[in-house]
Amino acid sequence: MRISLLGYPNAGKTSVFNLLTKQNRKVANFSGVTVDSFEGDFTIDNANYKLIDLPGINSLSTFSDSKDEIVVSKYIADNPNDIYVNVVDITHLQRNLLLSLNAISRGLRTILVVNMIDMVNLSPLEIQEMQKTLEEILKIPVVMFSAKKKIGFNELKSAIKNYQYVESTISNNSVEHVKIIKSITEKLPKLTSKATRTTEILDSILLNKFLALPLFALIIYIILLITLNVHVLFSGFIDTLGQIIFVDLPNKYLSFLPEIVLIILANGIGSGVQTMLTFIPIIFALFFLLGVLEQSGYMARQAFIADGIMQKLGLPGKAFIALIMGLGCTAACSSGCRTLERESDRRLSLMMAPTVSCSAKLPVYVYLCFLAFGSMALNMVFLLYFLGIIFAVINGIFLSRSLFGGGKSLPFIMDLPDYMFPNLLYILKNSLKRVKNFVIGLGKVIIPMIAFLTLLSSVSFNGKVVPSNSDKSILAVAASSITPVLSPMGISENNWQATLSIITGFLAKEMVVATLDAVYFPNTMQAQGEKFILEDIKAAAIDFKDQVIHKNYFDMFDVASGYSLLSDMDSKSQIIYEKFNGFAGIFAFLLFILLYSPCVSAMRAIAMEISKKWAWIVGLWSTFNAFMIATAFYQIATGLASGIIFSIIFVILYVVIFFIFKRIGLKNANTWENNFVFTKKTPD
Amino acid sequence: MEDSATIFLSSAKVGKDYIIVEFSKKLSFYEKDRLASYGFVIGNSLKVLRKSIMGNTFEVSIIGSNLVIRKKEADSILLQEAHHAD
Repeated sequence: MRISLLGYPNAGKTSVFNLLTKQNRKVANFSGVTVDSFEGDFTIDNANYKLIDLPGINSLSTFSDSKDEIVVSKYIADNPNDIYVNVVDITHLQRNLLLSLNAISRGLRTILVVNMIDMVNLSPLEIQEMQKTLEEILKIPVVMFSAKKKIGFNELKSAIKNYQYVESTISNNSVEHVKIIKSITEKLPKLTSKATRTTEILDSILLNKFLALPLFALIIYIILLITLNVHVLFSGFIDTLGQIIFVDLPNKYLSFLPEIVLIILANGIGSGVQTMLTFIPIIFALFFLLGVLEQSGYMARQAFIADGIMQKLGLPGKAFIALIMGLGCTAACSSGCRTLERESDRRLSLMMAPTVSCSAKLPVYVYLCFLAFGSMALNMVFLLYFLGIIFAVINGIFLSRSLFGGGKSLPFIMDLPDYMFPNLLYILKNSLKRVKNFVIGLGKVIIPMIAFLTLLSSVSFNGKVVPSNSDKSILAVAASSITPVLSPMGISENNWQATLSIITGFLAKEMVVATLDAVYFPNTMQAQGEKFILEDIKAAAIDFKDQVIHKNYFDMFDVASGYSLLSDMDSKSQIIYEKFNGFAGIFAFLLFILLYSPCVSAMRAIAMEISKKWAWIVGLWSTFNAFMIATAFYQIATGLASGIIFSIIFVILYVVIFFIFKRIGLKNANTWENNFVFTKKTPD
Repeated sequence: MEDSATIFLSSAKVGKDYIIVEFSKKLSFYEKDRLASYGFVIGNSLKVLRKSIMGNTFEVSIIGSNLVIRKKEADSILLQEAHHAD
């Protein structure tokens, strides 16, 4: 016998599932569609049951463009004889019953589980009366339940065991359903829940006409501030530790190895790993904070506040949340897009995502801005973040009017859930999982690539080992040969290092810094090989302690100026200025880094969400835009005539693209939205 | 008395109780079905809790939960002020 759990998101299906199956679950597979759903087994008096936890849905309407709802509708159509255990949240009983009535009136074998009865102000007697009222009107078994207090578990088991189908007399008509719900509500005592009252109070502040925007900005600012603090505090320490373990130690104790092997091992992989490890704190902090925002219910409010702009883009307010996740990582944004119901919304959001500065781009900005702009550095970093969001909006408007202009959509309706205290343990676990994925990704893709690139940068075409900043290495020769392509945006031929860093940045954005630092200033990478290692660790630890105690945590400038990579600023900054032909070249390069293709891991995430082809489209489109905008800036900044000429080319090119995209959009609208209507039903 | 006048949800007053009396003819069958699945059906009551800063997004309390809807839909739902017998 198979039992399926049906209900709204957050009604508590999963906790009912865990209670029944004793957490024995595996991910259920719905013909290649990725939805959050599990299956497991349980027994009642030696009889075996299979339990399916269907994805949470907002409606069982016949027409849907949501992935989850389509999966559930299809499942119900294929399995009409399952027993459907409909889990409802008592604090939102009326709304939840709308789904229940829909299921019952379709003739599904339904058991109603009224969950979270510990959350309301009802006496045991009132709860009993409520059950009777519901059973009388709905004519199905009703179990009053609390997953938290473990109430109603045995009742649920016996309801499943003794289930008898009674044909429903309720018609499949929403107006009728609302009437039934009203008559039920009249018979029940008035429900008040603490969560609902808290929500009213919090919303009157957080969504207040005058306070909403400042508070919204403040919260984003605090998140960035904390993240930056965490980064600066820990990265120095981890950096030193990584240097010792992965670079100095191999250099010292493996010197019997052939030179080229040692270079790849220590200076290539070793220093690569060292750089990457410094990002673990920032990634962890960002995911943790975003997780808290999401679970507390504030993210949905952010979507409400930002919805005005998203309406202009033709995107649901929820897309804003996904884009905010992009501040952490474009790959996270890609998984965040899963909550968007329409396929074309997911595609459009992912096209916009790369220009939202991910956390890995931050070190690139910090590094170059401090070298190039001195005391203006932090303002420039903020400017880049701001520009990234502006470009995302412009890009979104451009694409929503062209490539995504053809689709029709169902109304965007969003729930504002009650605020709740976030489950910190769950968020902690989730953030650690992200960090783990990051480290695994590091091992799988990035390390072999670094090894390969180091080999190419250490060997010349005639097979000789050369110093890693030499322009005779295979990599240098190859990079110089591509560099002319980038000359319109100010990268001259002797600056092949910049080209190289763009290529390695495609593997992981933080590699831009690692590459620039290694090829511009090669000797800084293999310092302190002779020092006593334990002393080094001690010094790093003392540094770390000093930082923790003396740092002014609220001064962004102070926080960021502690960035550890920067020693001998003056000589380095001179080299950077020379290489990039001054300010215009550096800023054009930063613009390019801000806008160009997401890294390999983000591309892989996009491929998993949509398709490989779409990942390439996102990559190519953002790289093209990056090149065009960086070039436009450089040309305008360096010469009037060339600026005007390029501006004209720029405008013509984008107008042409707009119309081409519009044509493609019209043609594709139907294929992207082909799951728009799942069950064909003639409109009456 | 104004209570016989029908207005669009988009111009409803914040904090007042209304009853849904009609849907715009422009709504397609699919759109209506979608709205109905969230409780937007004729005869049901609702309250506008707040509007967004740009004024094109509405938070509505309907059938015991809070939903966010947009101008396009708010412009296609016709309301009448609810009579309070008490």
